[in-house]
Amino acid sequence: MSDVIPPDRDETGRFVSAKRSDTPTDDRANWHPLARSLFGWTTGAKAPALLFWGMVLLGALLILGDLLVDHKSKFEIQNLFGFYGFFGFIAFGVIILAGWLLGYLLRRDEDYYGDAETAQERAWSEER
Amino acid sequence: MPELLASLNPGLLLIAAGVLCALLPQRQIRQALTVAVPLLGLVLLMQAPHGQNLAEARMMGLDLILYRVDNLNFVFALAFLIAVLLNAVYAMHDDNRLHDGVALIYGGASVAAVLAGDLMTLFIFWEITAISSVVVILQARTRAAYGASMRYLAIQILSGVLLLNGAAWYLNANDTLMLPGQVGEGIDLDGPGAWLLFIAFGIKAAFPLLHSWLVDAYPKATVTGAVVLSAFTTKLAVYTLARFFPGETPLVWLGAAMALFPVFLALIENDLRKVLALGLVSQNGFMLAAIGVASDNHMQTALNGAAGHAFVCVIYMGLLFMVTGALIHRTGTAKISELGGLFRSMPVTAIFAIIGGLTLAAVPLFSAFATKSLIIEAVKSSSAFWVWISLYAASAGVLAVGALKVPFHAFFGRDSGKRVDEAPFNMLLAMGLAALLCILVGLPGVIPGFGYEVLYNMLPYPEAARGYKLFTASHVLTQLQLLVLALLAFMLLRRLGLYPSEKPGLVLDSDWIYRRVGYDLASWANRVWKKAGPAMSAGLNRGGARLYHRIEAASSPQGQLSRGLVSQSMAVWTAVILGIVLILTLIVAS
Repeated sequence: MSDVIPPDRDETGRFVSAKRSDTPTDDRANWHPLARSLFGWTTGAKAPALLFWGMVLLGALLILGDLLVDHKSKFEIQNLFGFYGFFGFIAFGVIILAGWLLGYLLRRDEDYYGDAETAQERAWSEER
Repeated sequence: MPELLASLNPGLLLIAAGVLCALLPQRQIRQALTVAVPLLGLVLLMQAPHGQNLAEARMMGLDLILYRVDNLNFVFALAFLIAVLLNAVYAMHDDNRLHDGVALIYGGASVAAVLAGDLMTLFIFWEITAISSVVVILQARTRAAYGASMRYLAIQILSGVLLLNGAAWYLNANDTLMLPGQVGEGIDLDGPGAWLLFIAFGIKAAFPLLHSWLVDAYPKATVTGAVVLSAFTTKLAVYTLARFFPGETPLVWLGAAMALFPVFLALIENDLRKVLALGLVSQNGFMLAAIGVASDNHMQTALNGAAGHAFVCVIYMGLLFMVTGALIHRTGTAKISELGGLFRSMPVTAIFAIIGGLTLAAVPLFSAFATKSLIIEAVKSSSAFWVWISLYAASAGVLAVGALKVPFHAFFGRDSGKRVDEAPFNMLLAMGLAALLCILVGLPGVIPGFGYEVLYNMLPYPEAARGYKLFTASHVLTQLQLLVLALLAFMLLRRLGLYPSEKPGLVLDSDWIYRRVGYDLASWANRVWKKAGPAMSAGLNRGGARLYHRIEAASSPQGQLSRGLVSQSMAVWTAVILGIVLILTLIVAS
């Protein structure tokens, strides 16, 4: 574990408040000039919802695209309508949900092997 | 003069320049060399004729072929030289002559190893890559890096020893050390010698359970060191497997497992460079699966896919390691739980991260789409259904690396509040060049000289590659469906609060077997020995002393057996009989 707990987290590293996008607007003055024009929109309050529904729409359109395209399939399963889409959805969903179990089973303290960087070493390497 | 140049192995040139750079204190001259030499190497490689022995030597009764270019190793050597060039540009902000020199030596040894025409030359450069890469890891000068580099060295040397034994067997069986002649020919995986070679290559290719040296060591290197490490060792092993073992079934299953399982770990990993190392293992899995199905009528597509994917993978994994290196250079950490929202400070790096991520995910119009499609096509033609399904699941799963971890959690997501400077110019330049290659190699060939067809023409079987239609509606649609719906699964689970949050901590991997179980066993044995050793010596001493006293009591001149007339005369008679037997034996023998 790191020595310093960031102010927005509890001691397990979890974020305490789920609220985001409330970065003060005057902080924008500290941003890289390109950041505002390129990615500024991602901090908008509605951006996550818009992105999500945009992806839903895009996904639906892509699956409907199966009506127009012949896949010349090799395996039987490929003939299912929207197979690749549903497969991707389920496969990645399973991989993400498996993260709960694997995290519980495999995650250990950062100094588990006793070779984590000590505060002294960190200071020394920063000095370098 | 052109003949002399044509016989000059670019790898040896790089190694010589590397030795020079390590000794050269003048920064400008040294850094000019690190860029100029790989460029010269590229020129040499481009004009080398294919299928000829360009440099030979004879040593200890063995015929060595030091330099031989053909359709298979060309594309690997090209990728390595480009990587050396990009790495040199990336490291320019730093004045470190040992790094500059060793990076050139490591890259040069990798180039020389793929251009070797016989097993002994391959072995020599195989070992030079191992030793030079250990120096790259040690550059970090931390306790963790030291430990990791020693574990790394032990495993790499093991691979070298196995290779040497395999080479001896190969020489004995075939009466030559020359590599299998034709591309796609290979050797059969039978007999202990072939298995020795297979495992020697497999260790460096990061076979399942043999992969932990990579995930252990790469994240502990320096900013520039990790970028250098990501390019060479595993791709060199992919090349040797493609050379020796095309069409060997074990590779299919090993490859499928390698492609799929690391993405599960990548999803819960907190160290960005570990995430990338796992992504690298996963990508190598695709190549090995392709090499495994390289037989019959899909052999050409499979080897094209493996070689092509290795080429583009060197560049896009290099790009992602560069992006992460830039993050560490500026923020001092690669821990995802301490990053986030960095597009505010490093928007240009964020763009390169997105390009690297899109390429890793094999989105159409990016280079990996052109090569991964060949692999999927070959696996599909081989009718290996479960391998095909695993590779598709891995294609979706690799979004954990290429979408979630690097671009999203590092540059977007929750704001960490870190406000830093954009990456140094030389880093941006190197990342920009790599990103440009990712795009140029992925585009349809509308403009002559650009697009995926340029790469296809350099693959082992250019005709077969040109015959493959990449941008069909079906290919593009299925790939986009897979990726968009997979991302949608992430977004949905995140909205529902079912996405496991990013937590600090260390995720166990197969190195746990020797770092924890092995270490604990060794320390237990040590503790037992510390107690048992003295007890055993004391017991032995006591027993010895008792035995001595008994013998002394019986047999010494004052002992029981020496007393009285009977014992004395018995001793005399025994001596007399022995003397007679000796004399009789002498007479009979003569």
